[in-house]
Amino acid sequence: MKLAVCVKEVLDSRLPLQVVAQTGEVAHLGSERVALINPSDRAALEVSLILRDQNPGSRVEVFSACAAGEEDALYFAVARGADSVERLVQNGHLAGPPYTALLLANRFANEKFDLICCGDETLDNSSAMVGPLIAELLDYPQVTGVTKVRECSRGKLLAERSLDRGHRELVEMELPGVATFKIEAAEPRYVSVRRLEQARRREIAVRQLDIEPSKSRLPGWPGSEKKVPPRARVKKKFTPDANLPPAERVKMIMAGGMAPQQSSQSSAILEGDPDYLSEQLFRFLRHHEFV
Amino acid sequence: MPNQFELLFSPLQIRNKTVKNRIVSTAHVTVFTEDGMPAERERRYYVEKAKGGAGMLIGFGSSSVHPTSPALDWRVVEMFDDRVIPYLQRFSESMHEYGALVLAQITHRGRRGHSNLSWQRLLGPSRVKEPNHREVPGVLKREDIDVIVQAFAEAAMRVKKGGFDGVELSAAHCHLIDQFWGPHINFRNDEFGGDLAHRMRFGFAVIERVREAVGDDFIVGIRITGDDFVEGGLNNDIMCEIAQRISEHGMIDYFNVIGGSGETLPAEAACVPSMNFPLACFSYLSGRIREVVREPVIAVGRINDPVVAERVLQEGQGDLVAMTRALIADPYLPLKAREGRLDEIRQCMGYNEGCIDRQYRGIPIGCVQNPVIGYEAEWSDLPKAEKIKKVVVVGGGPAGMEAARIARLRGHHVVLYEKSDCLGGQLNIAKLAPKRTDFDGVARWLEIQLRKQGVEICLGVGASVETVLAQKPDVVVVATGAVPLVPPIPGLAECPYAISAWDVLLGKTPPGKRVLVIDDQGGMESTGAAEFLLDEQREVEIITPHYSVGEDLGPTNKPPVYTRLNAKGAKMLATWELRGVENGTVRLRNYYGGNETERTQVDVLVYSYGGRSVDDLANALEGKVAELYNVGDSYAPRSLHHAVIEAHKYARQI
Repeated sequence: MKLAVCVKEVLDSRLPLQVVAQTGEVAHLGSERVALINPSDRAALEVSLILRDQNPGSRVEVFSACAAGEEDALYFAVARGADSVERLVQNGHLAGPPYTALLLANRFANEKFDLICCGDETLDNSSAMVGPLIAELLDYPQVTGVTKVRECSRGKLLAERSLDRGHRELVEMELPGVATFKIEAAEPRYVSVRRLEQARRREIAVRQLDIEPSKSRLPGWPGSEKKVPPRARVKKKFTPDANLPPAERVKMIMAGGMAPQQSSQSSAILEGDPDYLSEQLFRFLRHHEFV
Repeated sequence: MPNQFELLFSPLQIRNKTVKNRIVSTAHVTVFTEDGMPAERERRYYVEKAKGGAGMLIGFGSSSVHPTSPALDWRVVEMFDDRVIPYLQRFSESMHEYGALVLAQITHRGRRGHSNLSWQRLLGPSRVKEPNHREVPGVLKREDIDVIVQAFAEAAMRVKKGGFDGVELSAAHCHLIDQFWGPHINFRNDEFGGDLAHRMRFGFAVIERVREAVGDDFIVGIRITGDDFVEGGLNNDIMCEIAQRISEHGMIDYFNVIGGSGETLPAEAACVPSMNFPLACFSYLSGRIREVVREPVIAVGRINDPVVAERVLQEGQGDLVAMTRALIADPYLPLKAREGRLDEIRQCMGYNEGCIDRQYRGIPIGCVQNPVIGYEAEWSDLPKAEKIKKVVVVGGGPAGMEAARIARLRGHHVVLYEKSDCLGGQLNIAKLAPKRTDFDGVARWLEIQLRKQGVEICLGVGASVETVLAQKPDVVVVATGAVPLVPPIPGLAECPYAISAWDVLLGKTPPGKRVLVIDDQGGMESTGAAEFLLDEQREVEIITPHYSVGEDLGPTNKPPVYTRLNAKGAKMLATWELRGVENGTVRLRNYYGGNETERTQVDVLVYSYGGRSVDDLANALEGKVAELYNVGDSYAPRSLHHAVIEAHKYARQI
């Protein structure tokens, strides 16, 4: 069997988060950015790995449509034993679930996968659109919200999917098809720290694809255009006085905005023991109202 | 860092068009035209930029709206002729294929130039010559003004018919529109002269007529200076006023803000700031303009890197960034930045000798780092070799590294020997001169590529014939470089206080206050060494047989070098050559008159006669290997540009 898994990294929501007012996007409060694989994608990956083990000769290929530096989910997949990982990049600036789906569908169009596994929804956007859209774009059958795979062989998938109020539905799907998984579908396997470290050193393949929404059957999606950050405020920069002679102005710019050397009244070199020096420095800063 | 380039890769609306990212290649002259037409060479040159992912391409610097605009010195596009339309159509189609916006610059250069090529009379607002070209123009009559304004409109229409997204009016570099603005140039007493409102009339007439012709669905931008750095000229205060009035007038869609002007040599050098200037040195000018206008502003001037570009945008110094030379050094910069492959970007170092300094001399542009520029048709593809060979490259300077890079990319097995303990060759000396640190980037990029591609690099190995042959190579590339030339001048070789310019930069200068520098090489060597010694608080006199010290320095490099040498107190004497050295006395002879003089009590004599090839290995290997190439300075000592192009050319033949 050929299995494709679509993964995405998300911010670790166990750490304090904030919404950035200008862009409406979520960021960590501190400067440290901690990302992890989207939990339901993790389940989708684990299900595929189990299916691979059950069907000898199978392959698990993992894909992520993300920017450079957002490969955490792919490293996770490498560490768990994915046969190949690939980062997909589009040749445009379209952002949002429909374009992610279009990019992935374009990738799968020419290579036949028996089962395409996605997470049910992501921790950040929760649109739950990517999996179903891939199925539509490829004209594949789909089953969403899978909680358990009963059987997968001989061109068929037999799975339980979640309904309201804890009910389950048993469905059968012809392959090739797309399945999206709930977090509870599988627990991730344990891997050693050593393997995690090794995975980090793996070079991730990048593939660039052209996507043309106008030529696909992609539904319109309001607000899916990339958000344009607001016009940045002008930060005041050093500007030479317009009345200075031109040669002086050029010299100032060539010197990186530094004023020409004056007599050394404004600078002084102090010597002495650290206590004395720190005292003097503090006095200087206090005197000039720096602190 | 996912949002590292948040603003750089966000789209921006300009009139009826959306530019996909903020990266702009601004209008520049390429000298690629054929009979005044932007033909295949020009198109291929731009296709690479479009493919590389730049958002907006402004083509055809200074293209003429009228035959009276000087055009032949730089072979600019003749936009006054309907012949141009089919070329424009083919050009714009190619750019649109890759999703780039494409605009063309149109201008009338007025008095900026010479009339001795076209024998068309120069025209200006008043009979005031440009200090740079020094030819007195005739005064534009009222009816001539109407003709030129109409010519602007017709040229803009040709650009529109050519399928372009917009047109840019040049009112920078002291062309006709800003000649009218200049209070030091425009002394007219009709309605086009006098106070600022009157001096701006010509420009407004052009803007209005162009807008009327092209309609509402076409971008019309303007290029202005933010400060022309000319005595009594258009300083930053005046330019803010002018920009504000143009913005309030409401017909212009963006402002493209440079620093400097073409009027004087120092101002002209500032227009395209070389490595003598800091990065993004003029972003304060676009920032100031941006405060007073509503339209998008392009920040210009040594924005050589996506990180710098993003910072300029984040600090609000511009809405778009001009990365023209950065895109010459690496047309694929936008794609690489977007994909986070920053260390693969070949960074523009602002040397300028390969691009703008060639253009100002009227010869086709290139890039000292990127040999493909200007030869896209021949070299933009690098096919794999049919037969894989074993290639030994001797010498880790720019020629050796480029040869190794290309040979490896073509699939050969490459071993590179370098006798010192680091790669870079003469770049490691050049970068030691004041304000030349950026030379470092050339070797850095090449080394990263070699290591990435798996070239076997052997440092600290001075390869002999035996070492080379022991590798059983199919091909040997010798790039063993050069050493300083010591000409047979009586007493020079024996003189204990004589030292080459190279050794000065390596810090080997003997002590002593009074320094005499002999500049025969005519480039950076002697001036760099002189400045290095001035920084050590020595007294320096530079003597050259040429008409000026640093005779061959390009138009954008010479003024900053002269500015600093002068500020640091260098003495210069032109047209004298070194005749001999004996016991602290240096004899000089006038190159033209033959009369002699001398300098006594010289503590240090620095000589700069360029290099002498180290070609022993190349000679010894002759006939011993199947394929032998001798490239770069070991063939003949020349420039970095020669080394890179030559190595590239021969490595493609392997």
